[in-house]
Amino acid sequence: MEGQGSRTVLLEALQALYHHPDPAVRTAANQWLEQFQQTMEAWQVSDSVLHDPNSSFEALYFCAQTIRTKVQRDYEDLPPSSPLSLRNSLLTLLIKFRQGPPAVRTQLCLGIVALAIHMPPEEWGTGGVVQWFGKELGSQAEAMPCLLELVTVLPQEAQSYKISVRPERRRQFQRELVESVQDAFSLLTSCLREGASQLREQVLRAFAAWMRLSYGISAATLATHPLVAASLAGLDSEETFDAAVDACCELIRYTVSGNPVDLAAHMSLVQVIVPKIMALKVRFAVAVKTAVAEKQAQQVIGEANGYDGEEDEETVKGMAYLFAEMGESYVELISTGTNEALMIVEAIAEVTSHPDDNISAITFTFWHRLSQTLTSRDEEEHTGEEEAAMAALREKRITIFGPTFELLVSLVSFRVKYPKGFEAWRKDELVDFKETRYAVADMLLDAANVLGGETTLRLLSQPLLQMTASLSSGGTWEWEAVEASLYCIRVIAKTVPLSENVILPQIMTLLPQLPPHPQLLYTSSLTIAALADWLGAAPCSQTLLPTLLGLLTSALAVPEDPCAAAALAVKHVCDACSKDLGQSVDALLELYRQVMSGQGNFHLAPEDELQLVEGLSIVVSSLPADKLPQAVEALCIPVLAPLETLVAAAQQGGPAQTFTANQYILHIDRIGHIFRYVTQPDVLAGVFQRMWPLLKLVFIQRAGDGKSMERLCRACKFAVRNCGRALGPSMGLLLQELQERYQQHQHSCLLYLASIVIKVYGSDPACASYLGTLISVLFGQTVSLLQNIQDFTSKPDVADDCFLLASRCIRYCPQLLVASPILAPLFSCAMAGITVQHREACRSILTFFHDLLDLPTSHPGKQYRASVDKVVVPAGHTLTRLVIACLVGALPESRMDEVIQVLVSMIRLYGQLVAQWAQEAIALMPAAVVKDSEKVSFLQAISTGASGADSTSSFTTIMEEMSDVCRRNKKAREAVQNALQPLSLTFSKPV
Amino acid sequence: MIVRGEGYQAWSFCVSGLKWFPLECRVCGSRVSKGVVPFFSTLESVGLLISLLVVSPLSLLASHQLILLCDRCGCAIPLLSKAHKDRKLRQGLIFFLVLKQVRRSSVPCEVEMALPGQTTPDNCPAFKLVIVGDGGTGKTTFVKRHLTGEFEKKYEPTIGVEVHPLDFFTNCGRIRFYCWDTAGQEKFGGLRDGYYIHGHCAIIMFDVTARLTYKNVPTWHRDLCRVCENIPIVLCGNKVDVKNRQVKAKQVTFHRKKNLQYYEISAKSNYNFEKPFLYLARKLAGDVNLHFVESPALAPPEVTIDLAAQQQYEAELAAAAAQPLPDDDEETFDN
Repeated sequence: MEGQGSRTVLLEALQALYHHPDPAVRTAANQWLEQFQQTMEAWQVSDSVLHDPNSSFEALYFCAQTIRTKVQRDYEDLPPSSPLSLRNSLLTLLIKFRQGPPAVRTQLCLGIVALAIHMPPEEWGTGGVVQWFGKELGSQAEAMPCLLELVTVLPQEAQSYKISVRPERRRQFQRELVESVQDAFSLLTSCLREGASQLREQVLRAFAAWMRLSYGISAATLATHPLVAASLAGLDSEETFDAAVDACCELIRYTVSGNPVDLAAHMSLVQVIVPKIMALKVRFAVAVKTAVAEKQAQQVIGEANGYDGEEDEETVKGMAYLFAEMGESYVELISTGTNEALMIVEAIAEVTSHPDDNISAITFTFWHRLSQTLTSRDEEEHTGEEEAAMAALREKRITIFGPTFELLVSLVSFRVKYPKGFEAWRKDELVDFKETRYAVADMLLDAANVLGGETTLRLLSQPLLQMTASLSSGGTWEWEAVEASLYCIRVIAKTVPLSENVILPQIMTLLPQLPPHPQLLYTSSLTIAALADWLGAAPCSQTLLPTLLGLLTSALAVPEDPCAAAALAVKHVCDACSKDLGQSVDALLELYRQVMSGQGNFHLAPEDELQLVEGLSIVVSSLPADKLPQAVEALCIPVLAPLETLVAAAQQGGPAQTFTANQYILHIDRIGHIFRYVTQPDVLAGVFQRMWPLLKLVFIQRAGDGKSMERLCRACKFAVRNCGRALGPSMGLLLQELQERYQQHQHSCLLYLASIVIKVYGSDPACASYLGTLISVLFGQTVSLLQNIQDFTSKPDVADDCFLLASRCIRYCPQLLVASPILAPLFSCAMAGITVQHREACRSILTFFHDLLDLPTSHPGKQYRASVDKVVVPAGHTLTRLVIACLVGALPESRMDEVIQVLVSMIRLYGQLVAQWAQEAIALMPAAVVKDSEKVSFLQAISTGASGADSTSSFTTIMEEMSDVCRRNKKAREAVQNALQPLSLTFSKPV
Repeated sequence: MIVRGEGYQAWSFCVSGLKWFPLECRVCGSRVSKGVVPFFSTLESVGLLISLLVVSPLSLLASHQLILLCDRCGCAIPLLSKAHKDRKLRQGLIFFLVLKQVRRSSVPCEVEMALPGQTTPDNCPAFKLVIVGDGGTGKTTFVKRHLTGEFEKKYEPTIGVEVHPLDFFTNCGRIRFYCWDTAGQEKFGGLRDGYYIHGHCAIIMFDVTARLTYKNVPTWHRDLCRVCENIPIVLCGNKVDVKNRQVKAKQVTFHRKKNLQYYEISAKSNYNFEKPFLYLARKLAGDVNLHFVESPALAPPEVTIDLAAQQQYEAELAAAAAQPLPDDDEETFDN
């Protein structure tokens, strides 16, 4: 291709990519551009476009980006003489674009830095890259911005995996940079002295970037360093504020770096940073004051105008972030409760008090960590004396922080109160409000953990009890206040001891007397749900329960939120108080009947009805034997009858009659809940047996409908799991059905159900022949379905559940799978699909290999050695090659751990044999991509592993390095994959 | 007279729901021929008007150093680059529409509009939204919820880039996002930051069930900011419907940056689908009261984690902490 020609095409392609309305044209342009970036010609064309004064901004940016990409990735393509002239050209361009456009300048800087990582250090003079930059650009005042940008991106790129260097060079470069930190600091310091004020921001950004590499510099040096002083001073100026916040965060991070964290060693710096950040408190307090005034004004005018104080919102947030960072980083120190610590805590509480919920919430993570730090107990064993001393210390700290957390409760709890006019809110406003309430809920729990449930309860119930007391003197319920109080109490309910007998009985008695406002009914119901355990333990529950159930029954008739909450509460009460409900069972069952059959005035959504099914299933299960049969009947009939009607209608209507999956699912899910929550196996087995004929009809009617089948299998899963062996003869019928359906339609859920069956019955010898047939039918069918990688990609769910089932077989009934003739084709099938990109499917396949290979090395699995060998050994070289192909690029890097696991299992089982197999695969790798020394160290790692000298971490490191080397750029990866050809390997298919 | 962005897009302006008046050049008195700008009775001089343009809506324009150029006398009036704090001015402007691009023909304009094609309906402001993040985090699924309503069970990595127009209806009219759904999977595939140019806003997606995807967020963020300075960005933690989260909400602190907002979402259940778009629309319009007036047609959720479910989670918060890990069966099946 001639240069000018491709330049014209390039500009057209860019125009098309960014502006053409037709997606097909854009796609074509995209492909051409991608291709272009791979060519050698791209170097020259991009360079000339960049030097051309008439080039458009788009062309400039794209060409700068292209050169950067190529330096990062295709540096190896350059002839040995080119890097130096490339460097000169890039430097000239950088100076040309010193005033921008900034995006072009940035790309050029990135290109130069990538060059620095690729080129040998001696090309940059004796003083290293930073000094070289300083020499080349430092003398020209107008080049300052470029110099600063170069110095900023240099440390940022030090670890970039986009730069295709070998791991060893990356480490070396990192060391070179660590040694240059002083140079960088002096360069930045001189910029600070000479530079105009607009450079300050850039200096701070560069300084922040270098702080990541400054672990070699002592805190004492930093404490008096002008750059640190500049960072802290930068907080006071509007222009530099954001950059200064970032720099300060990096300084904080530095002081808590190291493993273990040695704060004492960094104390001299901490003592410089903290007071300066604390000085922002005054500014923040003013912002809070303005915001409060603003909010009050809004309430008067009745409209929201967003935040509009002296400081702009981002600055206020910036200060809040800084306080939060400081608090979270020094939480250990703060938890000691010194006076300084309490001052920090006070500053953060100031942020929490900000009227904007979003700003207030920035601090919640800090309070959470502080609460955890104050209440955590370490796991080590201690003598009684140590234990007592630590408990005393904990007590003391909790006492110190008690007032703070009490203050916090008051700072956040008012935020949950519904404001006037909320009825007119839009949906998104309501959602935001609810989210604020969740965040406050978390926060209150953190406070309760420090203060103790009883104290927190006392604080939170105060307004409610005061209001109650005032009723007698003519006061009225303000439902918003009552609701807010109950909401908070409910949140911390679980932290209140079950023995509490002062406040909770009052509240429980109060609930039925409250006005029937929908929001209040909702929260009252949730309060009952949260306190169900307390009710179950309370001596007064017998008297409380009937009125509370009455309240819940009336809430069930109020649409949307209240009835959903009431259903949840019924479930919890059923669960926690089943023994006290004896008197109320009949009433409950009648309520259940009405709700489920759509009688009465109830408005429950299907998922809320399920709460009732769950609750009643639990209650019925705990009834004495004489009452049981009748109650079970009452539980099942309302659920069964409508499904029977539906199935009959479908049966009569024939194929022309269409019912939707959702119509079935509604009923199937209810049945599933009965299977899941009836706790007595024998009772449940009876229920299942009774329902089976109906379920079988559903299996047949909905055989082709994946959605219904998923739910049906899910329901059966619960029956299998909860009945266990009690299921008896019904089991055979179910398995029969499962096999037949799978031969007809390969729904993955059928495989999943089979895996549950294996888990429950696999180890039962009496079931062996049943299960043997089951798995050979299922695997036989699946293996013929998944023949090549395209099959796996299009049916990842089938692949996933197939190999989940296989792994379960290996775990629970190896005798049925491993010795069976189905293992060989299943193993080939797994090899065919090992490179599937779908995360779960791939994981299941890798886990299967891992489990199979680990089996003979486990004690009970020894007997299967011969069977495993028979299948694996002949395929050993193929499997090894596949696994290596996966390791070096056929699978994404996030699969690396699992792939290495498979290799480790292979080595454990086959020792030096794996080294031989690996040798064959490694020999295929082109020498241009993988050096001989790298191959040798890879094979050595495998041999060493095989000889039993077990050092997993160094093994893993070497595997990862090989992966890095082969993935360093597209060409390398493609060359290796072309050599290993994981997709064209054929897998023997035994007849 | 036209409004020209230095090295960036060119725009002309109008305001919805307000009177339309021609704009005069302060120097030579010529009137705007193409496009119109808003007029407010409280404003008398063009200078004031201009400062108002920048204050309000497209706060991002501020960072683009816009100037007004008169096409007769060529005088240039710089638009203020710092957000204006005059509340009265700000109140006046409700929402701001970007009309049509000013073509090269009238005054040399370095860049054409970034939006693909001329398909944008009149009076509908359109913004380029870049979606980035590791492979498999659900970027394509997320945009497609709005388009076709299909939740893909299969996983087919995006190759290169796909552009989808997504429309939302606000109290101030329609707004369109051209979503550039980029490939995340391939380390060396696609043009990567070659797609970011002219981006007005962005979404960075990670997967709360895969820790590595969160670890890579800073890199995506940095790459974006190197091309698009100061644009509003939303960080989305996807797949919160999955029970075994690896990245907990309290561990997500990366969003403590300027112009960066965090939302937890679930593409599968539509949970918080609109939130990222609403945040970006508000930021781009400079109007905190902007809201969507009708919900986009979304596919029915695959799983429900609507508010009812949230309420339950909430109610069972404390109990959950004490419970053992969920049965692995539940994981593979229910999700």
